[in-house]
Amino acid sequence: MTRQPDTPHDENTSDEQKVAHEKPHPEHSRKLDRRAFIQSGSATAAAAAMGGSVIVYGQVDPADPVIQRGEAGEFMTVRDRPEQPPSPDHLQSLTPHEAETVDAITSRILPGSAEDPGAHEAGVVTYIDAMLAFNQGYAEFTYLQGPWAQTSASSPAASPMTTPAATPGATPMASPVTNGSGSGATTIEIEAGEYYFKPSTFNVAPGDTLKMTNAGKIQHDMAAESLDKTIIPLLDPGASASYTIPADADVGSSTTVYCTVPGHRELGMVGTMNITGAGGGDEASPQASPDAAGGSAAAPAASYDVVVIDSEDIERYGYQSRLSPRDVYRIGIAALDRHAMQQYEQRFKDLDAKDQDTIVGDMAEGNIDDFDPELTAQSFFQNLRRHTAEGMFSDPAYGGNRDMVGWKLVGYPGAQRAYMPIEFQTEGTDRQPQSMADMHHFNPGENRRDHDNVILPVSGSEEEEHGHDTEP
Amino acid sequence: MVVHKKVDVVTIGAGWTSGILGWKLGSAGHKIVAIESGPIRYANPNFEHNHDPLQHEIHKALMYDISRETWTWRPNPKKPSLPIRQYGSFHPGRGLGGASVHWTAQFWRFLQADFKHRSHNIDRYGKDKIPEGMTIQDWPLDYADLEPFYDTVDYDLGIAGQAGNLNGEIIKGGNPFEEPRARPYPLPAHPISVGAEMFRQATEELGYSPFPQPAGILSHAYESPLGDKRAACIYCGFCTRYGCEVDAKTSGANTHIPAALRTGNYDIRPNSKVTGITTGTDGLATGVSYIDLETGETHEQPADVVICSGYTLSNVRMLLLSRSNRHPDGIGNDRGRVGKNYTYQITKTPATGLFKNHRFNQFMGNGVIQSLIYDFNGDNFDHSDLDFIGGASIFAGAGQRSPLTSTLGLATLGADKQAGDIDNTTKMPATAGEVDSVSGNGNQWGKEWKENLRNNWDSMLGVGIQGEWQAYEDQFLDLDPTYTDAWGQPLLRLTVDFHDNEYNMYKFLAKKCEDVAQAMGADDIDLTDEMDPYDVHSYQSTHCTGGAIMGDTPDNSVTNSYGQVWDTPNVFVTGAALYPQNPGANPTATLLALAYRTGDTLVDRYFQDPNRLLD
Repeated sequence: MTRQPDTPHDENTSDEQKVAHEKPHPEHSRKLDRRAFIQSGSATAAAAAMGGSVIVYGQVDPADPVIQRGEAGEFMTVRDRPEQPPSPDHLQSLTPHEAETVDAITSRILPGSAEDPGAHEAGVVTYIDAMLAFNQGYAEFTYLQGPWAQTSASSPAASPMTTPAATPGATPMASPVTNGSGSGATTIEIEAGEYYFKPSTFNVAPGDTLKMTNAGKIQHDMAAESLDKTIIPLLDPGASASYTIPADADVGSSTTVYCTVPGHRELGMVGTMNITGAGGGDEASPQASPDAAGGSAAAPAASYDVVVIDSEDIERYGYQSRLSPRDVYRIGIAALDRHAMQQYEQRFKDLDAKDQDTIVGDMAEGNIDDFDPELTAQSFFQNLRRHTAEGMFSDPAYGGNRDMVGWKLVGYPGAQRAYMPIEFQTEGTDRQPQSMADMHHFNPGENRRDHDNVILPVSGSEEEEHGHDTEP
Repeated sequence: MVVHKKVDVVTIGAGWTSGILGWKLGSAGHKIVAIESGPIRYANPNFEHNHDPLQHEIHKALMYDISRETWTWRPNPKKPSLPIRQYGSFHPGRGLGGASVHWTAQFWRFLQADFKHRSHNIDRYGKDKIPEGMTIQDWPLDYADLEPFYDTVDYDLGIAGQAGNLNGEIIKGGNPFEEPRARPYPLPAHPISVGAEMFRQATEELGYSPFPQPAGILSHAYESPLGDKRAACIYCGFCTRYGCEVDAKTSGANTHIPAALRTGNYDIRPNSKVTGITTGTDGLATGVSYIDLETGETHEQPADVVICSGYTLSNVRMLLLSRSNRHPDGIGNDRGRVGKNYTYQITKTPATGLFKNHRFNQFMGNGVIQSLIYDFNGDNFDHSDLDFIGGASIFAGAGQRSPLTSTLGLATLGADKQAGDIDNTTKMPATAGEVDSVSGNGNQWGKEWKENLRNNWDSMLGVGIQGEWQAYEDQFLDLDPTYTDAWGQPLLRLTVDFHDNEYNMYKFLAKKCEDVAQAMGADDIDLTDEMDPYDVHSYQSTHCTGGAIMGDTPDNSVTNSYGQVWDTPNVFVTGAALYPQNPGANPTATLLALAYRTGDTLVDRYFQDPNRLLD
């Protein structure tokens, strides 16, 4: 049909297809994650300090031979359409509790019933779970090099979120960490498992490094109550990460530490961290321990450079949070449950619809001040609302919009092949919704399937969803 | 390091202007190589089954890979810059044909007053009309110089539209404000949507002169003088941000690039990223260095002539990155002019009308089945008593609307009104799902949102503007001191924000949009009567212009009217980086006409006496 010009680089014309097929390459992602953990103590410490997981995209070393090869998949790619819609019966990224919570809250954002489907009936949670399983939820090209933004703490408007340890949106290490002599600072090793910390009570000094290794079979993290934040990110079994005790940590104080995975604290993953004056180096210049995270002796890039932006300007810069979409859900769900426990002594998913609506309304209107130091309730609400729309109105191939209920709600016929001018010159349509799987292929050849007998656009194709049996 | 055989011309990027130059120069026997950072894609097989809004409109599958190289932005020189981490404000393309693959294909000639923007305004309104710090200037050519090229481009591509001024004769139904054209459009205008028809009637009643959108989308099958035979638009509703599966949407990849390849002298190296223009001891360019992104290997391509044929921002960055002893601040920048006169466009929807119980089928068609007025564009109206210069087109009725990109920002009108309008400005850095070019930032949820979606999603019509943005001293492009691309080279930094002229112009035009929405019979109108400061996360067109502007002297510009760089005469720049400032119309037709003019001049005059500045 469409002529393809001869080109001296014919072998490259198929490149896009190749890239497209290699896009969701979980092996690559995992390999990179592990390597980053092994190679870069600093990256690990930074990730720990930011309460997030390690994302190597954007932290690539141009001299790294693996990166330089530039294989598809080594660089961030755009999420591709799955060949089979994700199954609603198997979670890919969320924990069961997280999935139930997402299902509950998106069902308040777009409520429904069997007769009048909403987010639950459309499978929005399946869409979100699959989305978060790809690239930490980064579905599009995203630039992830630091330094990252920190909103100006001087702005009074920012005060509701300010805590002694973390200014709004800031890296928890509010002051840049420089390379110190290393003398005096020690590493305290903690083992996490089902469901314990070992030791469960320990002493640290400003500048010391806390290194946690997950010896269990499922993911664990560690949060400090007084800091009101996660200090060790969610670790896969076998992984470890470190956290440097801030220089300005309150010597003489102690705090409860716990695992934020829902239920784990109740099952015993709770301990006490005493901040002592002993040990530690110069309190003014704390540093990462030399042997933090895999023996990277220099631990050089413990550079917590931030760019300080006026609070009132920050939104104009667009997406600038260090949190990955996966982090947003992990932190947001935990905070949502904390808030629900505080208000109603029940987790969010167990509340009745009326109380859930009260919380969602407070999130939307910014009425929850103590949600989480790293994430506002409003921000979490906006993420949920956006992903609810994506799960309602994207092609069913992505796991949501089941039976095209989202398209039916608004009166959108989906992936049609073509329209005639008379159809947009008049109002209303009797076209029935159609997904991409139902849309016949345009060009015969390799893509041809049994029912692809039509190569010209067909309008008014609602009479049969599958198969136009006449050759044109 | 691989060193290739020397060629006559190397183009940085295999977009549309590269195809034009490849075709013109290749036809004249010159050897051209195009180094393209993205892949090769053609309608068949790449676009044949692509009606997937999530992948194209949300995940931006056809766009430049900004995970490796993006831009940074700050509102003014006193504020810090941050990288644009995800797409928002503009959408440059990646791969063969560049952004012309996923454009909307609105196709305009500029007005004579646009080409004489400074002197025209001073002549009509006096010197004081230009405020301090506004650095607008005249182009080094007139409409009459470009008309023959505009005309040829129209016919080479099969542009669809209704002439409004044929050799001075005003024709009803066309744009009466357009400059005289030598011939009518080769193809009739596209049919307009039911919403556009309402706009047409309303604006006519108000005494304005509506006309259909001139378009680079075929309204009928067309066999072009270039040799391509293409089908007419099938109005599928998946156009902007998609490649066209029937090649009805005209792009470099289905017109000039195939024509260039047929000359046998045009060679494309895809997935290859240029890192700099190399220069010799005489200060002239010697070729380009690039990285093969598949192997990581570095290459050198020597050439007699180097042409920056990428996107506006890529061209400016390439000049700035190409530093040498002879050009310590980059090529073209010996007098510090690179990056100046960066301008953009104001593309907004000030008024949205709710028309109860109507269903406008806005998901059909494309972005050119709309109707417009030019009564308030450029200097088509008297600015004597107004506190701004410039203007915008006003329009309604485009199609191709997806619920993915329109449900989150759906206006809240009528009984639901109190549910919206909550100030949700976050004080922390925004998360990825929170802001986006298309997501909107509404607060509606629950039953009210659902009923609004059910009842009104296709019952609302926006009345939009696309307008000028003037050039200013404190609005420019340079290299960012902090952020780099994946290969360690500095990113380009955009320093840009609206000034009083833009705010005032918007306010004036918003009122006009409200009047039109009222005249269309809207039951209720959602009006944004004042413009917020610029942000990088809302999509506002890909019409970034300037930074390597053309002029009549090296003191006020980077290139002459052919895009030939004053201080390095064997380097040329194509595209909208050449525009001294941005008029209130899409930039593509003019940059194609300029590329035709440059191509002819290279063939007819430059190679007769190389390395000399053309006059």
